[in-house]
Amino acid sequence: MADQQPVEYRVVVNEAGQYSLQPSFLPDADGWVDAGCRGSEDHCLAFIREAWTDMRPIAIRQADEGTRGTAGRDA
Amino acid sequence: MTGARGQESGAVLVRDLEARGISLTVVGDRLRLSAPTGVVTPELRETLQAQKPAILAYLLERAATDAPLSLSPVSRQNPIPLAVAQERIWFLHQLSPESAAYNIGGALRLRGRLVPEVQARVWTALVARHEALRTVFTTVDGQPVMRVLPSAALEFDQQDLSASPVDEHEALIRTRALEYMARPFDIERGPLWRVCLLRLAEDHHVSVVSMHHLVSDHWSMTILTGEFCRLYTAFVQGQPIELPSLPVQYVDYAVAQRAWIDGPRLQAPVDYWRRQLADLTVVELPADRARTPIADGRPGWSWSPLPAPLLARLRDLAAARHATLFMVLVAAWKIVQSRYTGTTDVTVGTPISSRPVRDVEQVVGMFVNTLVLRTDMSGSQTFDELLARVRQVALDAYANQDVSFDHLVSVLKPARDGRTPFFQVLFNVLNAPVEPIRLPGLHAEPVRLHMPGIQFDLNIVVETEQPDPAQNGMAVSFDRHLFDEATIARLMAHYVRVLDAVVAAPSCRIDDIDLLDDRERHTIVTAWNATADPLPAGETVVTLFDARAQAQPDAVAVVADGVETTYATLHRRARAIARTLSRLDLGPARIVGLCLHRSSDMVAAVYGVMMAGAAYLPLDPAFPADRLAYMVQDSTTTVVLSERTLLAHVPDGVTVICLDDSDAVDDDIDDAGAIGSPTLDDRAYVLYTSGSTGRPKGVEIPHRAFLNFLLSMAREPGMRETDRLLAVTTLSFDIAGLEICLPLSVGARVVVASRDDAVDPARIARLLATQAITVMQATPATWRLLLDDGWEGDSGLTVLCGGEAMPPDLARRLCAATGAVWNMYGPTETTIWSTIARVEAGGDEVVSIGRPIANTQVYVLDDRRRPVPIGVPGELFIGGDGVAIGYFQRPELTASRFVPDPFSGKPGARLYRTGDLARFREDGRLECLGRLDGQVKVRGFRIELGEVEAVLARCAGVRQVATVVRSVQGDDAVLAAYVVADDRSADTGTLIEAVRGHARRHLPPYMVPAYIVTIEALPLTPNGKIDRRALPAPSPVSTATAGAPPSTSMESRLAAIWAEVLHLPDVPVDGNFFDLGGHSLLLAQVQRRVQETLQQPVTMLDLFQHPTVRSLAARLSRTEGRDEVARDAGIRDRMARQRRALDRQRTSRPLSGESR
Repeated sequence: MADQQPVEYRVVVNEAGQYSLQPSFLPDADGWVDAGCRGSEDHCLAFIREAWTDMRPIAIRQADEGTRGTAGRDA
Repeated sequence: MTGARGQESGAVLVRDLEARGISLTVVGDRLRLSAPTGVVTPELRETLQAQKPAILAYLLERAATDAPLSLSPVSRQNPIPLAVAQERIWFLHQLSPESAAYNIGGALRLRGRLVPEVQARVWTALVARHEALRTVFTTVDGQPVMRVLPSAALEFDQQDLSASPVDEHEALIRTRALEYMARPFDIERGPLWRVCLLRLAEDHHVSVVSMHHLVSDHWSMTILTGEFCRLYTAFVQGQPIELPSLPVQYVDYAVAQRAWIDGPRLQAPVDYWRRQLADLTVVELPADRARTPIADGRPGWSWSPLPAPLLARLRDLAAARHATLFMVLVAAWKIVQSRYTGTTDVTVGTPISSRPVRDVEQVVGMFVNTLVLRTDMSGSQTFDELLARVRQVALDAYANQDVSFDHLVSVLKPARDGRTPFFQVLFNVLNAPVEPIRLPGLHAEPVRLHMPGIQFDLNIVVETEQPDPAQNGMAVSFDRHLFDEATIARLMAHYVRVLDAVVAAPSCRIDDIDLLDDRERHTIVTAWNATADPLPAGETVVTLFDARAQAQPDAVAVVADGVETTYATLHRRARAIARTLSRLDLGPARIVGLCLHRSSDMVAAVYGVMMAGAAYLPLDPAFPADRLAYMVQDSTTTVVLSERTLLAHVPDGVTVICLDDSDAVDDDIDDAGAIGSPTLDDRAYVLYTSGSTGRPKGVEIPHRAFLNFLLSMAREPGMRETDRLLAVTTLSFDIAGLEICLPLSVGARVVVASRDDAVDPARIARLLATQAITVMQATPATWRLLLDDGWEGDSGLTVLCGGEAMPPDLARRLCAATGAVWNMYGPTETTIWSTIARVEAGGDEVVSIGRPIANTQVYVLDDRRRPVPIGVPGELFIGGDGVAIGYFQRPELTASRFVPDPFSGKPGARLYRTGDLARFREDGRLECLGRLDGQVKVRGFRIELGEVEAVLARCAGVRQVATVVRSVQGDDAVLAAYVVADDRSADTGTLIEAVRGHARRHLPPYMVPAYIVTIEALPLTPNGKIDRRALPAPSPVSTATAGAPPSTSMESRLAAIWAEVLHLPDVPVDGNFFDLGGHSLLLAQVQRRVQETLQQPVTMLDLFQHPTVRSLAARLSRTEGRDEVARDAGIRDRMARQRRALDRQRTSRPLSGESR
């Protein structure tokens, strides 16, 4: 909380395709894998900006791309 | 190299010995030792022999640089000024004369044949010998002085406890001794010591000695014990005895000390401390309760063992690192203190017996000095590195020990607020061997006693040399106002864990040391988060409403503007809206804007949007046009539901459906067909919150989160069909989701207050009564407004309160006025509320935010994402079903605020980092302690100061801007903006109006600063950041009347006294005595003069608690019987406050009182 030194971060991604970043000394939490980027916070955020273009959770993405149309959902 | 290192180890030894009261001198090439009886053990003698060359080298070098001190007897006829350390104790005694904080002493158990007459004779001889035992204290011209009386009566008490049962003796000894020790002393009349003999049996006595710290200290007690033994032995055996004469006594030292202070000798040490303590901010250990202005020193005690094997390893470690055991123990303690306080700049105080001249070595008196040991613990260092730092700091402190702590305080002038300056924790290691006491015919042993008072918040004494190794441990006394015993026990358990860790691996990184053991971790991480409660299959917020509409079609669902709408009607209307929407292109994100008046259609629209599988986005008509346009554009919204009268507020470029247009929604459509329903992964709503970079961001809440929230709320606080909820919150505040959807999920009734009703306490009160409301949710500010307006409450009402911290006084008032009060906490990002607490009447000072709701986990983590111990503040992280999808199309922000969840075991789960500082209480309830960043709350609304600043900075004519939240008149938090003009010659009034207009055009009303102040330049901190705390207060009081002259005769007389004492030409009535250069001793002069001038008693406490002329005058006027005037003024103040609060609620009109 005080006297922070520059911390190295790395980018992680979960099964739902959601990205996050965390100090690189922290291990991967269950269901998260390394996304292949480490460095300063800004560096990692720039990577995420490029990589995470579709922010819909996978469940919604699949629904949107499958059955759901814009014409409504009346039976 | 060897020479230098040898000398250094010599220095360590000498300082360590001196700390134990052993002094060393060089006579020729020999070393002379002088020590209290029993301190020098054979082992120590051996060490000294081995280290003699190093010690000699160091002492010779020191002698060459030190000028000798001189001490000569002074006249006893005149009053003698106090030594510096005595002055502080004297002042504290004036503040609370009944306090036992500065009573010291001890007890000796004497088994065998005691001769009480001889005991009395011995004490008589000791009183004759030591002037301290017949010194009294008085004042001359308001200055404290001491006098040595030629003789003094002996206060020698006896209590016969022999009639009490033997098995109660030990408890009785402790109680009686403590009572005896706690008796206050009359320091003006004396004596400042007394002795009591507890008689338990013919051959069993306990002798209890109590002394005031003004005339004695720990070493003095050792001197007296030693001399007592010699005299008693001689008297009993009938032998002649003469103790070595005392050429000088304490008063001589006190006078000489005054001369040293002003002399050149202390220049270098004072400079050292000035450097060493520069820019020190003491961060306190997290306390269980807030500090009261003046503590009465009620102490608590705790003891925990230091196991022999651990102690042995600590000794080995110290020896291996050429450090003392004290240094190892301090270094390890600092790790604990650093973790608990969240700072790497860690200080402790440590007492040291400071007798700078041989002549006073056997003198009784107050010679204790306190050294401040400050260590920079930043950088990821190993314990070895930390120990090296602590060792150096200790050596430097010893080398500069001649400056009295109290002198340092007067020279360095740290901010004084009633707390000990420079440190909070006194850390002491008692490592002098405890020698057996020999008395003829008697077996004597010390009785371990708790001291009756406490001088510091926390006083840790590590005892390492007890005759019985099982008695070695940490004896802690602490202020019970601040800490609970369990808290101290945990603190000491964490200390022992750190000690274990550092002896196991001295090269370990101190950051890696884990304070928690498995049990505490399990409790915090798992047990307190066991909230699992599976969601019912197939349900959503929509299906819950469908079911209620089917089950109770004719029940009233909504009341708005006096019109009742049944479930059937509302449901039909919602479905019609859903059908209408389903024919439109809602865009890829399927977000529908709602720009509506507060009516039953607003409720229908919320459900209609959700029924269409879309998310609703509140667009508050009170927001400025460009804010609404930004929200619509950022969220890719294509359709907005609105009304004809609000069309002007709807941004361009979207399809608008006017719900009050009879063609827009086809209500006649056949209602039989299904529309389908959203899935739990779909968004239920999108809500924009303030963004620190100046861009608000849309929080996306999925149906799973909203459903979980409502089901949890329906159980607790609870809602049933018979309930009636008054909805007063604007839809753009996420908590409105509870007010609309919770009642309709369970078949209850929502009474929608109109916008005009919702801001008028009288109208709210009327609605509560006429509509027989059973539940209302609002922010603390609204509840206070209601109570201040004269609302009498309702025992049938359940209060839901959240959005801001609930002040304890409000909690008490609400509990007294209503049936049930709930405090709710949660960020928008974890769906409305995440923790709740039933507030008990007259409860704790800080109102807890409670425990997590269903399927929700809370974690308080340090900056390495580790759970912190119970009671220790950390950042609050929230996981579980309430966690939002993220910020709409803001990948970076989402990624940095929603982080991997390593605790729940659910693959891929995320935690939201709230940015709130929180801590657990021992029972698992949470306390919220404020923000870690620039986010503030005004009337429950989240505001990023950065956003307001970014917007204001775009206003023409503004060069720079800073904003703060100010608490004006109690709890009303208002936003204040400080503006630096581009052109200094510009008219400030014009600029302020321009900034205000700009703010109104671009910010929602709650974000428009109430105060706009122009300022020459923004104050900066040493490292170049804006120093928000240094910004002047914008309140009318301080800007307009800080320099106000006295207006009553009482104020005039007081101001004159102050001016005289402070040597100022005049004194403003609102100037703080201490800010104007006053200090505690000057206060005594004020006391005397006030009493003389006004012929009215005034206590030191009065002066301390009323540090301005105005407040003191009011206090004294009250005692003169002018209560009514004060009461009238109080009522006027309260009314003015209410009026202002009302003004802000209604129109958010800025307050008057802009600074020039």
